[in-house]
Amino acid sequence: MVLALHYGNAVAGDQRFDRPKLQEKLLRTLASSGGVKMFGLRRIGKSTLRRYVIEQMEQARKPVAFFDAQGLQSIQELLGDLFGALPRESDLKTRALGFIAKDSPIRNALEALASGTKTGEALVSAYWREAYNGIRKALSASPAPPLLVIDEFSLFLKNMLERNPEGRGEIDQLLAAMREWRAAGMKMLLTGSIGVTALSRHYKLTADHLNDLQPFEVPELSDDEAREFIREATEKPSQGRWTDEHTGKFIEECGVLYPSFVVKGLLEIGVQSPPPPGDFAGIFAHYVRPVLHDDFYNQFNKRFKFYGEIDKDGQRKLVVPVLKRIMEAADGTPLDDLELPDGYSRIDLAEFLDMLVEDGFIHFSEDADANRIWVPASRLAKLWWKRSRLT
Amino acid sequence: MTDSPTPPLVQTFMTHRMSDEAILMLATGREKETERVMDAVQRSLAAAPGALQHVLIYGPRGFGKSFVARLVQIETAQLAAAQGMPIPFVLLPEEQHNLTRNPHALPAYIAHRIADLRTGEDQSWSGAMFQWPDPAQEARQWAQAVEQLDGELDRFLPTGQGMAIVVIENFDYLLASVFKDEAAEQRLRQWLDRRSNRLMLIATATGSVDMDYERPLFQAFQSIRLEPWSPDTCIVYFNRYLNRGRKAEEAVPLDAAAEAKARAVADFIGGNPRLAQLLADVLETQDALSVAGTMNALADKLADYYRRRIDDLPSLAQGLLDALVRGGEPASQTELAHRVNAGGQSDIARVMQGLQRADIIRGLPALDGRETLYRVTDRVFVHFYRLRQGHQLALKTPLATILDFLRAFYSRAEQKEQAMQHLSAGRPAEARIFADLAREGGAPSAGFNAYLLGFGSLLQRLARGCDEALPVPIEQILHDLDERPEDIANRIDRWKPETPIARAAGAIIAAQALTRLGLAAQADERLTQEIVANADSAAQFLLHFERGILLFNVARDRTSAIRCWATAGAAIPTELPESLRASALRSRAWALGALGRHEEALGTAREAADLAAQAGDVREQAEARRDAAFSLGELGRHEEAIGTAREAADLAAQAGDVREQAVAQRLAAFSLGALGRHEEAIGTAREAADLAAQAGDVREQAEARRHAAFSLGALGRHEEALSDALQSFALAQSVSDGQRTLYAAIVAIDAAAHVSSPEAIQVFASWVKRAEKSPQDDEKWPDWRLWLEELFAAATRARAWEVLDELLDDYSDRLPLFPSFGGSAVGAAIARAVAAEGRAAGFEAARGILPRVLRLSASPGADGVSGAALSGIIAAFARDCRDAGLIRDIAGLLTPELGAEAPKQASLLLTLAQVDEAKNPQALLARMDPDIALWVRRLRDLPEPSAAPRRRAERPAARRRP
Repeated sequence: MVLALHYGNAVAGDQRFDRPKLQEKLLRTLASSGGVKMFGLRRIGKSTLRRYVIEQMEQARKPVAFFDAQGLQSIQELLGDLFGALPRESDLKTRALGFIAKDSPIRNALEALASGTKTGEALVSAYWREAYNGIRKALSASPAPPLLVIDEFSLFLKNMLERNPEGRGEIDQLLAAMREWRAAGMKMLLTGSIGVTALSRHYKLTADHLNDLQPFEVPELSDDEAREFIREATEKPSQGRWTDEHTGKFIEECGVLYPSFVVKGLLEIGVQSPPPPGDFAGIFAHYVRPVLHDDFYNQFNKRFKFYGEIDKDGQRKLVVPVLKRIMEAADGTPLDDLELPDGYSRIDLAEFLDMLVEDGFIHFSEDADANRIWVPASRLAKLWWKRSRLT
Repeated sequence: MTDSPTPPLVQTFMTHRMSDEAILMLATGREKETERVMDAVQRSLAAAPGALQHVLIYGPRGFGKSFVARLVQIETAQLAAAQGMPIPFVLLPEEQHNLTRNPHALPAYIAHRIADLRTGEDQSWSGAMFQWPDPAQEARQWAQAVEQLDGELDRFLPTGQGMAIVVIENFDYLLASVFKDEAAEQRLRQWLDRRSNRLMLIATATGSVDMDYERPLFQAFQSIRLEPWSPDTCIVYFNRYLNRGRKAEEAVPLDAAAEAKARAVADFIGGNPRLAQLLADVLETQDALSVAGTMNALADKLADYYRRRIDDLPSLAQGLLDALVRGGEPASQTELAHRVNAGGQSDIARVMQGLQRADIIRGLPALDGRETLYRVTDRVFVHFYRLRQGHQLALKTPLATILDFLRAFYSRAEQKEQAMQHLSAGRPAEARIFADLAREGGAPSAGFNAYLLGFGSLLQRLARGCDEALPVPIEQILHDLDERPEDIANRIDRWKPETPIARAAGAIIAAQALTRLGLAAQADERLTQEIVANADSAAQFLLHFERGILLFNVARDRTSAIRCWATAGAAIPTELPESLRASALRSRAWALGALGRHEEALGTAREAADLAAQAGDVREQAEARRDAAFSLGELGRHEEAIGTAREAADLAAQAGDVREQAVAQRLAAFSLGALGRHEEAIGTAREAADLAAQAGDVREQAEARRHAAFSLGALGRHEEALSDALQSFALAQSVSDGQRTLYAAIVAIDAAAHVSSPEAIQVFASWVKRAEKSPQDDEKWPDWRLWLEELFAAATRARAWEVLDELLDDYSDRLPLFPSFGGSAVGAAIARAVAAEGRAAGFEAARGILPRVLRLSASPGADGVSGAALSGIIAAFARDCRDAGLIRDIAGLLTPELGAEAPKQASLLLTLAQVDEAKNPQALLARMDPDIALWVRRLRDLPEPSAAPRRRAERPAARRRP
């Protein structure tokens, strides 16, 4: 198979590198739960996985409703896109409308939304409850509720909250409603580049509403996967000019094995007539790290700083020791090995751990007994930790 | 440049309007980038409809982003033709004012343009007119516009396959203005990311577009950075430009000189392609002022461009840039931080990084390699900046701000030529700039220079002998010669005197001014021209006399100087005033002395002194007496020399000429030393050195110190001798005086045989290296190898082997047989090491030097050195050392590896040790081999048993050095 290189968007087809285990794990997790949340670092492949799920659903002729919440700034817009995304054959729109009273002030507005017309926001907002309930009832009555996939859902929440920080009441209502929809059978896959836990903490949202969603993390490629990735991308175009030595040096220099990083590196180096491996160090130093790795380091710095804005003491007493423990451990760190400073409870720890996961610093694996083992999320995070000299 | 009649400066900014042929003809240095964009196009074509590879071309203004976009447009058309499928290509104008405040207007505008491509109409002109914004409707309008665009794509690509390309220039500006609202940017990202996409975006930008993690467009593009043109690429471009009227096969490549100029331009423009285009004309001109004119015109034309480049920068970056230009370049980060009172270089590091990324500044390692020095990349930018910021020098003299350019553009010879041209044209300020450039990095001034410093008194004499008044008062001439020689040169050039002496005076003053500007060759030419043009005998004398001084002191051409003086002194015109005639006689005396004809020189000098006395010219008298003292010294008539020199010193003191006093005292010291009156010689020499220091004559100071050192050595005061000799060396070296450095080195190395001094060895070695590297001039300098034994002795005394080894390594092929290497100095040095520092030091000294003497013997052609040298070393050592234990130890070193002679010498030493320890040496000696006994007796001054004690053999007298 030839892997066509692409940088910048979610990919599919011959632009996507198959990661069967990861893909299957996601499908399994979706199947066995009310849904999955993938909130975390940008450009690590969440949208590509999301796209894969949609394709699989479409191939299996299962209903799926997908929309991108980027640019949406109001519940009304969200509902409009949601209605627009519902598969025609599921008839959910009509059913939902059927549960709204004919004399309800939001009836017309919802009809307009359902037909794709956008109306004035203020009219609908006071009556969300009714709209939500209508959807919930429609779902309960539906034999095959669709999978709801929303890309950049956390961005939408941020948009809403930045426009109106007092609007958290609306958000809480929405999140509560979505939980009810899940209970009514609509599985969800929500993705976003912003961590919801931090957002919740900052704006004092009720993050519990998302607790039933399973967190899903997207790891870097393994070494073997990376080698296979590179082989698929280079073998045919280079016609033998790309060698194992090129691959070894590339992996060494790239350092971070998220697919986007690997693609960036390959595009800068050029796969058809690659320069000698000795040149890779200079190319990475000049063209790749300053424009990619550094941006992530800056982001980690910002997020770390943000924790201080949320809770200065917590940053110092809890976050730094936790990061130190996890980043510097040779193997994974069991949860019990993470110390609790005075004044902080397990719940605080859990929240901070969630934030650290969502912001791409750490992730966890679970054993059969659901014991969590914490590890650095990526080589990128480890490199950042080393550079940061926080301790 | 193109087939359009539009002037070149304007054309450069209208890439979109250039024809395809013009673009292809001028395409230089962007092949790699264009290839990468086309690769993205190919990949997108293969994926369409789907995830298309959007591309972002980054680069500072003027780096060719529009050019690359046009190249891609041309190549895409070729690709479309080859594949038989349409690829609509929309190149939006550089500015999109019609989109202001309406993000949805972007997809709508693109839709119009695609429609126009299809229909051939110009609907987008009116159809894309600005509409009053309505933020509440923006989301809806956006959705509609996207739908409209999709509709147009459907019409253009009815099969649903294929894609369109849109190029949006100044994309960063568009984002910051039209899409600054986050929701708008999110919609844009969403649109770029949509499934089944059929529109590939190629964006160009100067600032960052997708590097802010928090913004929706984070890492949304494949970015391609345009690097500055390398100097080689600039030259390719200039070649193309200069051959623009010719066919490819008739093209003439740049010759070496033109290529050097091209490189100077390339360096100046910092690889900015736009500037390369604009400055290509400069290559065809030689005149610096028109270059400056072009720079000014450029700075004007590019004002907007440069203003925007400054505006593109964040405010702190603007501030640092300002500090760099105003405070001077290049500068290290530490220096710059200090300049702006920042805490330290880490405070400004991020901002500096940003400036480098924008290629506003570049760093280069400092000469010592420790720091990085930063300067502004585009020198025209600096010129613009200085002009705009009201830098007075920039406004007054345009050349001053393009010094870097002139420095590189013109060779030293051309710079000197330019200086003369400007002087002739009555532009002294410009001339001064070029003269200074031509002098940069040259040899340091020698300190006292008779040509320069003696000019004052000569000018007085000239003025007295001249019938016409000088155009400028003497005091002012002398003052301006120091500060503004170019002004004097200019004013004298405009003086047109009538009389021959005045004309000669004019030439002499002009030559002096030119020399002060570093234009010595031109000064000589000026005098020579006047010599040819001015037949008057008095004028001839004056000109030859002055020329001799110039040649001797400035050009350091002794031979030609002597010839000039000989000519000057050959027939001294009687109509010259007495003091000038005295000068003439003196110059003749000097020439005779230089030729070694000292009796004649003496007579002439005495005559000159009498004439000067008659003329009441005390200074001239002093100089003539001094010349007489010199000749007396050379003739070995030292008592008379001392008297005459002291007379000369007194006269010089009367005339207030400190330097002259110094020389006279030095000559007295020389003769005192020659007579063995060393104590007096030391005092006199030190006085001479102090006077020379007062006068600023470093050479004279060096000479005097060396005389002192020599006499100190003669008195056995070796520490002081060494100190003075090293001082003399340092002084001589500071003015690159090869001869005086040699003599100082010799005196130093002599002293170092007595007093441990690794420095003296270093000094000697440095002189050796210099002598070996540079060819000797017409002076006969002695061969350093004559002092090889002294060098070995010094190394022995100090036990400093590294430098000696290096010399032996470097010059092994230059060390043939030296019969003068007796070895005694080395042996004596071993003994001195023992006396001063003890037995271990002595042993170490012997152990170190013996194998090295052996190495010397192994040099090609060096038969038989080892035997004689070894016995000489051992004998001298044994004579001066009474430590029997050490004698035995050193005997132990004398193994057969050192030579055939070694065991025998060892045996001698062992015997000597026995004798030294014996209660009854005579009894021991009586039983010994008679030859050995004789050797021991001589060394220990032991009498023969039945004969009267011998007189100790006279030690050879210490060699005299001048």
